[in-house]
Amino acid sequence: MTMAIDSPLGAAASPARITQTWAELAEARSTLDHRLAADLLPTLVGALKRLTAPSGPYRARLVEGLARSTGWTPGAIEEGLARFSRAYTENALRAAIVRAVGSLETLDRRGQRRAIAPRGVLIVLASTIPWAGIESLTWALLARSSVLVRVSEHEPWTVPLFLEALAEEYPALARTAAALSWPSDDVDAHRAAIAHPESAIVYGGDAAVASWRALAGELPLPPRLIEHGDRMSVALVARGSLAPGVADQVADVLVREAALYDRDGCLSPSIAYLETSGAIRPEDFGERCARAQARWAERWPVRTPHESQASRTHQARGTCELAGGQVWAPKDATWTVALDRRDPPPAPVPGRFLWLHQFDDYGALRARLLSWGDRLSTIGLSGWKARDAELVTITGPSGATRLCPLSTMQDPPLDRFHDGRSELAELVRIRDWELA
Amino acid sequence: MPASVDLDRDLRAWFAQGLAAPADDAAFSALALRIFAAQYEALEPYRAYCQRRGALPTRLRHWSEIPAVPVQAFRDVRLFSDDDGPAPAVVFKTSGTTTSGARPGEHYMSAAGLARYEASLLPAFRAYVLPELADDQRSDLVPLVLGPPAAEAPHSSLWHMVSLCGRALFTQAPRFFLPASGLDWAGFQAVLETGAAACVIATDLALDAWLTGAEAHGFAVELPGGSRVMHTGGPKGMRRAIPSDVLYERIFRVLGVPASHCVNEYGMTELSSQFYDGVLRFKADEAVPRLKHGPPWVRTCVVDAQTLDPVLPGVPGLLRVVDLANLGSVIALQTEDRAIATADGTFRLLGRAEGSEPRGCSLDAEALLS
Repeated sequence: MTMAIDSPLGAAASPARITQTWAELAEARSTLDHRLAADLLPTLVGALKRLTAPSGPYRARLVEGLARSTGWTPGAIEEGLARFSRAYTENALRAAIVRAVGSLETLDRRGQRRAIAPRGVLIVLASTIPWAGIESLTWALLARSSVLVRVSEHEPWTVPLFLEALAEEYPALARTAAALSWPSDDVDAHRAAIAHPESAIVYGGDAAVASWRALAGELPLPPRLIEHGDRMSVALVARGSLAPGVADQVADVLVREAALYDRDGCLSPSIAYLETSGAIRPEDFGERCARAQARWAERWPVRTPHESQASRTHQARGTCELAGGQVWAPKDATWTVALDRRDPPPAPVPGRFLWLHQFDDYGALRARLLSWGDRLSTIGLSGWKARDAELVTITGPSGATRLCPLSTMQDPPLDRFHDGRSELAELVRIRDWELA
Repeated sequence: MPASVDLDRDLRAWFAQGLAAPADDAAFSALALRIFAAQYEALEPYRAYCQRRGALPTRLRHWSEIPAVPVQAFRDVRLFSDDDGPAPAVVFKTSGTTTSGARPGEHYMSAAGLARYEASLLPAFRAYVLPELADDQRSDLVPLVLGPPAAEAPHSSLWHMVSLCGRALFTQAPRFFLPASGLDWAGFQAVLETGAAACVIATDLALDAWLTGAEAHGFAVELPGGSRVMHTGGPKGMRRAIPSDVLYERIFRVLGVPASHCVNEYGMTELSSQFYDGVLRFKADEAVPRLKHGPPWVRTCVVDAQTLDPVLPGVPGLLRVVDLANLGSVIALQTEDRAIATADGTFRLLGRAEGSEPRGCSLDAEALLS
């Protein structure tokens, strides 16, 4: 029997409470100046271990809370949590710091390059997978900034519980961060939140990001914005993977990466481009993807699409068919595989809707990738062994900020450049210290 | 290929009877299935679409079994079963492209198709917007349009309809106050102040913009009794939805036209027929959203958003329309609009499914006003 759990956050924060919280955070921050980044790393990793410990007090709350608020199945959440835990290690954090600012010393403001951190960082979380919030929080804490996280009303679990775990691990560090929530239409609360920080990391749809940009623009000294707006990812499946013996496995991996968060995150493949010269024809691969969709829908049952998503799904399916494409789908709107031949191709559809497009011409594929502009995040690759030169030709001008194996699309390393930038490097300014 | 002469003749006979045309399900189904069979033959993509659903003309028994085409398909598929020549007489295009960047939907019409379109829209406009008119009579109301003349919007089905109704059903020619150059505030205000009874025709957005300006300047008139407002566009995913009850209060304050004389029209580029509030025709005092009525050559049902299976009256879902006046394209359309059906075949429009792409007539005006 499962028990209903309460959100770790209380009532919606008022503008006054947000202002008060910034003051408390600033005071707490001053106590941390003497600690080295090397001291902080194990406490952050320790907090995640506490959060995810199978017998600990947090994991069950987190999984149940996320299942309730996101509609994802506990199995999918456990899978995501396991993947993030594997990535979030002391070594990985250390590597990310080195890649971002050169060395841990820089963060500690010792040596010839010294990081100047923003005094306050606002992190606005919306429309993203849960672990992204922990990542951004980590960089801001390592920079020794005070951090206010505005968590979505729809996902009040991950960051607040992480902070609870961090408070057990290292209370002084936890006190420099706070998670609050308030309604997305409470503009006064937004203004109170963005009035104090020197930097803001904003996740959300393009419209939401633009509205935060506008609010920031109202200030005489606007905070520096690090924006993570709408993004999408695609897969390129080459003939090496479209062969008997491997195609089923590739289809399974492709669908798994798309199904993991019901395509809520920006790293899920929404379109797979298939090379026509493979031994397995695109139609055949489509069937294999459909079987994989059905399998993964049994393992991780699909969240019931809301009405608009269901409507868009049916519109897209029918239009694809009428335009000469082929569709594999159950009667309801839970999942779809659609082989489409239109040019330009249709836009991604939310949910477990996988578009397949075939290509036989690198120039055309390059143009298609280019057409997604800066919206393109990750390109997952399969079957491109020993074809680096062709890949460079195809992906060169695209806006993609990450190329990776298909199987790890949802597992970005911590030291990646998120949307083409190191968030930690973006947060801090470097002061050259040229004195002896 | 052009639509069959028989179908065209039978359909025009219905239009000629106006709202007195046969309304029984059997007659409707019979004609609908004949048209479906013709479209099945004429449109290869639609034929394949139907075949995959097992919907062969020989198998269907009722209009509700006709496979509905998603309205989005009008963007990418040439659904022109009435193709009688090298070029269509007119192509009506959907709006909404300013926000999505996607291609507009295109509804092709041959000369015969355009004539049918015009023949189908007049009886419904007359019945629901000018119900007091006797047959062949024209209204003395002055048609004032907050929109562009059709010549300035050649691909807009709405402004084509308004121009046509203005010419055919009123004694005075329609006057247009929202040309491409922008809203003619002074001209519109001046004509309102003449004291003539008027029929104001506008999109919700244009009305809202004009009312806002009028309110800001303290402008108000009391149009003579019988004046009315026909507004369209409605809550179809605009940046700012305008609740009808609020709109009616403002119309009353500024124009003196009561809600009982404000008729909301619901139509779409992909359809040839329109739906209207019955508020004037039936003198019904309904809360909004009001019931929508269509002409006898249209049927609607509401389907479940997840499965597209029909739902019972009273249950919200997505609106599906079978419009026989679409003889030249496809008659069964699956819309993205939410609605609740009633047992008598009318429906209440609930708006666009949240998150759907904004589109609709008001967006034309939105572009002009911006």
